Amino acid sequence: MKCDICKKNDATIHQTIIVNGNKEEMHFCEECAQKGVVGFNKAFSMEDFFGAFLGKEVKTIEPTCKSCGMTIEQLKKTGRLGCEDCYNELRQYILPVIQNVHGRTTHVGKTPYGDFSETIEAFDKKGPTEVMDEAKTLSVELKQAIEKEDYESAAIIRDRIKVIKELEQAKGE
Amino acid sequence: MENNRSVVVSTRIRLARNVSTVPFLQNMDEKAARDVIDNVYDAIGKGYELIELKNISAVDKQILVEQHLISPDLLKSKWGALILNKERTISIMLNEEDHIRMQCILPGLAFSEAYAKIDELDKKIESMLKYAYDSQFGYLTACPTNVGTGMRASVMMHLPALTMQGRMTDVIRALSKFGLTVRGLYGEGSEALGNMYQLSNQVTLGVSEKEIINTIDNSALHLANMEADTAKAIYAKNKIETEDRLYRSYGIFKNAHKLDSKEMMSLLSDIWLAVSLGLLSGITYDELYELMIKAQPAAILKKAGGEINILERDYIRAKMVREATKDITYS
Ligand SMILES: [Zn+2]
Ligand SMILES: [Zn+2]
Repeated sequence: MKCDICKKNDATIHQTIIVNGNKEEMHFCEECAQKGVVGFNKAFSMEDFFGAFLGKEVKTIEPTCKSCGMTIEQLKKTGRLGCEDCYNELRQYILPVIQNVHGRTTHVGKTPYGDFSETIEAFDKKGPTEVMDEAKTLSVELKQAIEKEDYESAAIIRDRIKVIKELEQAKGE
Repeated sequence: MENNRSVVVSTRIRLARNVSTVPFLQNMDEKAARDVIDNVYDAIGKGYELIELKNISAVDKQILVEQHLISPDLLKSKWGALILNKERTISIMLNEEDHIRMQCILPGLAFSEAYAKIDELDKKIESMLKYAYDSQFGYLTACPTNVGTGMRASVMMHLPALTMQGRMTDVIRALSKFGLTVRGLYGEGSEALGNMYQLSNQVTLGVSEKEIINTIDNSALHLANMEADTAKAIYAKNKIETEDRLYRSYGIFKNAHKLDSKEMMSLLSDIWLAVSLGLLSGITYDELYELMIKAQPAAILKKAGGEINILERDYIRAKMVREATKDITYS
């Protein structure tokens, strides 16, 4: 699906608006969204924008968290979310804010399933010995498992890497 | 190590966590807040004290803030509570902006020890309670600025020489390149009273706990050396002026019968510097820091045991200072 504004990029952000009483889905790309159309950085109201864009009077339906009723407007006022589900329900609007604050959008480090970052880090740094080749393959698999949120496999792979590490240490002594 | 104790006052690590399926503070009800308090207190086991803020006086609350055991924000919460260990090195704020904010404070530069302690506590709580977590955003917090690791690592540093030379603006700018921010003694917006600065990480997402700690640990160490070298250089270059200024401060400290908190802080910073340059002895940095915290307004009010006016407060403060510094001698 292409962006309704530039008609060029793929649309990733979706907004329901009401034009003359009829609901309509609008779609746009990150780039156009960042330019101040939706979310936090918008330069003018969404109604004004869609109005000018479509040449009609429009109303928007504000994105709302289904669990707690938090709206983007409220979020902008308080800077605080209402519940954990807000992150999921309003993800596309929160994402640019998070990108802005942290300069990145994906967590690394400790997780409820263990801390995988050290394991990956350690193996990325090691030299190209035979044992390390195996470990390297494993560390790629570990990364993939984490990306797929397959934490069970990740834990198993992590343990295998641990064993290799211990073997290597024993050999070195 | 002993070397940087003249500059590094304390190390602090804080983790923000929320309990899954419980709404964040602004949408919470009393029952949910009660459950958070009870469940966390049950999870951590013996050896901890639970203080519900609604049960203590306004002065006692303020003292907890002065001691850095709670944030001023906890006072705004209807259901705020605090869990403390005996040594007061671990404090867990409940129902602040996030359900759980646990911190470990240790003297000197001690990040690995502080992290080990806080990580153990975190795991203990997590084994009993499910945290709000998202595979993309990590640990979820009420404010998007804390998501990911939910970790704030900070270090309190005494930087009189760099301040004197007007180099703090450059230092702060340089540190910001590493994602570190600098605040005063009492956090955001507070002045750097007594030349005390708190360095902490700004970014919590997309960097691991280890990376955050490494960055701030290295920066603190580097800054501590810079401060010590600068202090020595100032003294070597302006021996008479430096001695005159620091000994005058000592004179006032020893003899004043009225000290407001701002003056106390600036004199204390001079005494601290004099001790680090070997001009005075007979008091440790920990004792100086303890005095600084004990001579804050709410702590004095508590000591007075009742309503006092500003003059009385400044009199009590000066008396405290005279007592605490009576063993100081010229080296
Ligand atoms: Zn577009
Ligand atoms: Zn919500």
